[in-house]
Order: sequence, then structure tokens, then C-alpha cells
Amino acid sequence: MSSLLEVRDVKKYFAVKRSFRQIFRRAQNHYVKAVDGVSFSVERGKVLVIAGESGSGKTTLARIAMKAIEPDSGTIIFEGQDVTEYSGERLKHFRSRVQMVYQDPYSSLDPRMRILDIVREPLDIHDRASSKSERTDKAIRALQDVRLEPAEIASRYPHALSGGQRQRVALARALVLRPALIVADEPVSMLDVSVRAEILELMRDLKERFQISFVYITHDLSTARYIGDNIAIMYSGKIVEQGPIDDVLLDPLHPYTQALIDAISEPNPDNLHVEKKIRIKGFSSEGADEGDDDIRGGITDQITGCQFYNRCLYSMPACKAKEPALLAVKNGHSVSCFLYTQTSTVGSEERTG
Amino acid sequence: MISRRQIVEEFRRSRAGMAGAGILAVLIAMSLYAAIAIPLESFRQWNNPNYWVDYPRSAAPSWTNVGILGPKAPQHIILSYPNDASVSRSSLNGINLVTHTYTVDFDYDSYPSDFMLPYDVKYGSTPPILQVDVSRPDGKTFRIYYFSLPPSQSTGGNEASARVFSSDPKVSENLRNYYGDFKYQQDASRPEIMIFSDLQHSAVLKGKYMFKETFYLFGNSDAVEKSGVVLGGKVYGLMGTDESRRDLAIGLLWGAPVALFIGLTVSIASVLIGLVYGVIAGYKGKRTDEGLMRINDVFYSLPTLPLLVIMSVAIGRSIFLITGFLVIFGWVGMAKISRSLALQIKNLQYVEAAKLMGQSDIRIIFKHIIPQLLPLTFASIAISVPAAILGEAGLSFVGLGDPSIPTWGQILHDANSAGAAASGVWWWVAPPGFMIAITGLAFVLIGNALDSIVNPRSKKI
Repeated sequence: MSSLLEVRDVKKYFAVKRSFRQIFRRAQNHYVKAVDGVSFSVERGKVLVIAGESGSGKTTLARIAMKAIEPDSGTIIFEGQDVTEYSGERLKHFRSRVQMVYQDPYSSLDPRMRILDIVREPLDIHDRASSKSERTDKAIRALQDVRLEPAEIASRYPHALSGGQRQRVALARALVLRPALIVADEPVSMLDVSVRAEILELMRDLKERFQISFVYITHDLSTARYIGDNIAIMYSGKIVEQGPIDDVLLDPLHPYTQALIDAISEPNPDNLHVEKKIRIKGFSSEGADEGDDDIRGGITDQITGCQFYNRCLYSMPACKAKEPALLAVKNGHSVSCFLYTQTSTVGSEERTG
Repeated sequence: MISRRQIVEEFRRSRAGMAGAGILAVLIAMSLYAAIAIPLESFRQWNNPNYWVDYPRSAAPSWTNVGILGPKAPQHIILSYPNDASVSRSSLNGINLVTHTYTVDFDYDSYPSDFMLPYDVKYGSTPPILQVDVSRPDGKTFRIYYFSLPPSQSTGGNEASARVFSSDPKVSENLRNYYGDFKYQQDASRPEIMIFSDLQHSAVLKGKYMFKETFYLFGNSDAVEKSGVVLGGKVYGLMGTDESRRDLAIGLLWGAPVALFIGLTVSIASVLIGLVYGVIAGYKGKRTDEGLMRINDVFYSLPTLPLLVIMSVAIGRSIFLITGFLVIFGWVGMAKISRSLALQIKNLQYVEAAKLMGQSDIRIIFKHIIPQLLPLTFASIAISVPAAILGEAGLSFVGLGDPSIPTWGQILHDANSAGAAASGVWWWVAPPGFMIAITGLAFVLIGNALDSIVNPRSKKI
């Protein structure tokens, strides 16, 4: 079965603005490599989790996949069609098949529109065949699908709703066209912990009921496993580990993945005071080279070799010389780390030890 | 984001804003009164001297004539058939007699400057005879006129339409018969003095005068169309008159709807154009933005007044053209403001959400961006009204306004060219200036109140 969405080797570099002095001296242009040669695919009816720290390029990647911004290079294939260069009517059709849910439900809904109008807006654009009352009915059904009470909230404005309700409205708006794919950019990170589970459970339910694929972007691995089928871990614009979610989370290979898993909050109150060891170095640790300021500022185009070199506990000379490729280690599970390509035993021993 | 109801509530609490709204209400009431109660003819005939002949020349407002500061100057009195006349008819040997009687209560300290008796009679073949008797408060009656009316030159033989003036030699001839009644030397060549003089000593005889105008009509279908008494005085009406005898109260009243029309049309049109222009530039960005804003800069750097002068000379001076000229220079500032706000709003997530939903750019602009800018738009409209009104007044003042319409600027222009300020005709200069200032003030107050609600940061401490 071919995948629903396939992203191949996309790159997006943002130029760093140069000061007058730098322009005067003809200093070299610096780039932030927000997304640097990333490939992934999403299967029909499955959830792909893209995880990583802030600034790792996950949102840029999602925006490229949504065609909100143009990639510098690479291709996006959706339902077997190359949509990278789409425009006009074909782009409009693509827009009706892929929807987005944003992180901040307070700013993703127009404050001057009523809830019903917000949810009906995608239908008003794409569903010209239906009459207005039919579209209204569909919008009301979408509100019911996300377990809101349409009679109660349809004529209200967003400011009268709670954060959880707003995020449901955003989901209803994404859902109302029955898209093939919904890209959800940290949809629960701004919600109360108590509401998070409801929204995640709702998303999982929608996936089952309507066979919608999700791209779920998060920095929080604890929510990822609840909803995800596959996961891609991003670090500094690259995917460092990829695979079925249980394989990756239960048997993390890349040192960065291991550090992320270490950082998951401890659910057991008995362990509250047990100091946890997170296997990562801060930016200011020894071993960091000159040009450290640039690295901290996210300007990493001067780094050769592995991007994680400076923070990795297992860094070797080879890591600095060359960049590791993303290679399959097990069935469907791939990682980009020299620990597993040169001497594959070293890493796992240290990891378990 | 602030809701509409909040804006209304906050506005009600703002004292300056309510004061502005109060002034605006008065101006609107003036406009309605002008449109409903004042004949439209006075608006159309503003520059036609014949329309205003019954009015006095450069008369002060009548409320200045209280009599405390000095002798009471005579009021200019205009009486006309049918409103002020009491009519009686009789018949004598087959001749129809129609008598129109006008009563004048004359209690002023000096004599009228002159008088006129306008008439208009339609007749078949024989011209009618007009007889005028004046009954004085002391019981005396002077017959001042008894003569066959000359046919009107303009309308042919069947109508006699003209005026009997106080300077008419026939009047003084008749008055000579009453020299004996006076205890002192009288002068019949000044009938307006002789008629209103005391018999005993040289002074004004105060009291009720009756002007009895009797028309002898020789044909059965003859009819009196018009008659009247006009006593020339020094004060008239609420706001006085100008040198061309025009009633300034009427001019000032008509100025209100004209000023509101110009002010609101220019400001609404230029703010809306600027709003859409700026939002398109800000939202589209890149080359569109660059191109549109450079055009905007060109307009921004044009010298407004000289170009307005050139355009009104070269293209035309009608009120609608002038409105258009003012819009051409009025939209520039709003375009800059709305562009910078569109730059902020277009980065909001719900705008991107609409874009990723497949919404077209033009709908995003009108559905998601412009509604956010509406409160600012209303404030900007209110704030830019005074500039538009001043622009029109300035053009009119330098003599380039629409000459066919009474605007405040036009009245000021007339006053200026007649040297009104130098000759002490203050009621011709001050009121139109005051009206322009107070109208500007009203919109500035409203605009500032709205602005401080919409942009809380600019609120005064």
C-alpha cells in the first residue's frame, strides 16, 4: 500500500540577517538550517509523531508538508501526486484534503466570528455543491463529532469558550471537510493537563472512526505513545531516529532519543525526590568549540559532522569529522549515529549500563 | 480585541466624546431644519441678487438691538400678502375694491431708512389703480399714493408687477398736502421720516401704523397676486445680512449639511480607500507591497494645497469635484497605518489557518483582517473629518470653491472680498468661522474619544 503523504529530502534554510558591519566586511551569509534533508512518510489511517526539542524544525517541517511555506528543495507527494509545485485550483483541492490544528487555540480562531461560522468556513470555501443550510448541518455534525454541544456554543464567540473547548472547535474545523490528513502542531501543549487526555482520546477516536491520518507534532514523548503509530525524532533540522513508536520509545538507540526519554516527567509520586539522570550535556559543557555563541543562537551551519556532537555523552572523533547517515538498524527502525554503524555493540552496552 | 458594545459603553463614559456627539447632534438638527423648513430656492438662488432685494443691506443681527447700549435701531420689517395682510373687499359702481391692510408696531428710536411697497396685479384691459393710506398712532391718516399702476415691462401688458419706493416723487407730492399738520418744518422728499414723525416736535412717533393698500380693479377677472410693506431697518433676523442683502442665518444653516456632506464623504471615502489599499499592500507583501507603498509615498510627498488650487482651476469647481480632489490626497495616511497593522495581523494564526484552509486572499483580507481594523477605521474617519472641512473652506476662501453653493468658506470668502472685517460687519465674519471651528471640534472630540478606546496606549494619564 502506498503511503498517503511522502516527504522526500526537503530542505529549508533561513538566512540570518547580517548587520551593516558584516555586509561591509562582506562577511559570509549565515543560514539557520531549519529543515535539512528530511524524508518521512505517513500511512493511511496512521499517526506519525514528530518529536524533538524547541527549535529542532518540527513546526517548519509541518508547514512545509502543509505547503504553508515553500521548501528550498525536495518533493512532497500526496495521494500519489507530486504537490510540491501545485498552485491555483489543484492547490485548493490539496488544501481541502489536508487540514491543520494549531498549538494555541486562543489565536487560531478568529475572535470576531461565531463558532458556527468558524467551523463552516472550510465548507463555504470547498463545498460549493451544498446549500447553506446543508453546510450548517455539516458544521453542527462536526461539532457533535468533537463532543461539543452545538446548541450551546454555535452562536458564541471564541472568547466565551475554555481552552479545551476552543481546541475542539479547531478540531471540528479541521474535520468538517473529512480530510485525509490532519497536521496537529502541539495541539495539547497549551492546554491544562486535565484536558489533554480528553483531546488525545478524541483524536484517537476520530482516527479510528474516519480513517484520518495524523501528523502529530510534540516535544512531549508521554503523549506521543498514547496516540502514535510511528515516530520520527528530530534534532537540529534532521531526523535522527525513526521507526514504529513502541520500538523507538522502548528501545531508543540515538543518544538524543535516550535523553528525551529521560526527560519524561515521573508519574510515580514515590520517585518524586529521586534525582533523575538525563544523559545530555548543556551547551556550555567542555568540548564545545569556539563559535559556541553561534551554536547557542541556532546558527549551526558551521558545524561539520554530527549536529549532536557537542551535547552527546558518547561522542567520538569520527562524529566530528563526518555526518552520520540515517540507516536502518532493525525492521523499520532507523537511526543516524556512528555507534550503530561502526561498532554497533559499544552504544548498546553503555546505554544499558 | 474590543467588542462593539464595549466601545459604545466606553464612549458614553467619555465626557469629551459625548460633548462632541452633542455638537454633532446640533449640526445634524440644523441640517434637517434647513432641509425641511427652509425653501430650497434660497439655496439655489444664493448668488442671485434679485432673490434678496427685500432684505436690508449689511443689517446687524436683531438680537444686538436690545436698546440698553444705545438708541434702539429700527428693525427691518418685511410684511407680505397673504401671511401678514388682512384683506377686505367691496364694490363701488361696478369697480372691485380689494384692500390689504398691514399693521406695523413701530417703537424704535430712529426712522426707517426707506420703505417699499411691492405689488403684483393681473388685469384684463384697464390698469388698476393703487391707493395707499397710512393711519398713524395719533389718529391722522396720510394718503401717500393714488395712481394708476404702470404695466410691467417684463411680463407684457396684462400684469402690473413692481414696487412703490419711498423715493417715488408721487409719494412726496401727496405728502405735501399734510405740511399744515406739522408744527414745524417738514420735508416731503423724505417720506420715511415725515410719515413716522411726531406732529408736535421733530421726533419719532412710536405706536401702531396701518398701511392700507387699496386696489381698484376694473375687470371681473382682475386679481391681486402680491402686495406688501418693506420697512428698511438697521437690524434683521437671527444672524443679520451681508452686503448683497443675503440673510446670513439661511446661509449658515445651509452651510451645515454641506459641511457635513463634504466632511463625511471625503473622510469615509479616503479612509476606506486607504484601509483596503494598505491592507492589500501589507498582506500581499514583497513586490506588491513595495510597489504600492512607493506609489503611496509619491502621493504623500505631493504638496496638497498648490495641487488643489491647480486642479480646481484646471478641472472644475463643483462641490463633487472638490470632494474628489480632497479624497485623492486624503487616503495616504490611513494606507500607511493599515499596512503596518495588516503586517501584524497576517502573522496571526487564524489568518494562516484560513490560508491553509484554501481561503482566497481577497476573502482573507475582507473576512479576517479588515474586521479587526474596523474600530480603528471609525476613529480615523472621525479624526479626518475636520481636515476635509478645512480643506474645502480653505479652497472656498481663496475663491476656488463651488461658487453656486452657500458654504461657510464661501461666506467667509465673500466677507473677505467685501472687506467686512475692516468695516466692522463682524456678524458676516465671526459666525461662519465659528461654525467651521465648532464642527471641526465636534469631530476631533469624537475621534479622540474613539481613538483612546481603540488604542488604550494613547490614553491620557
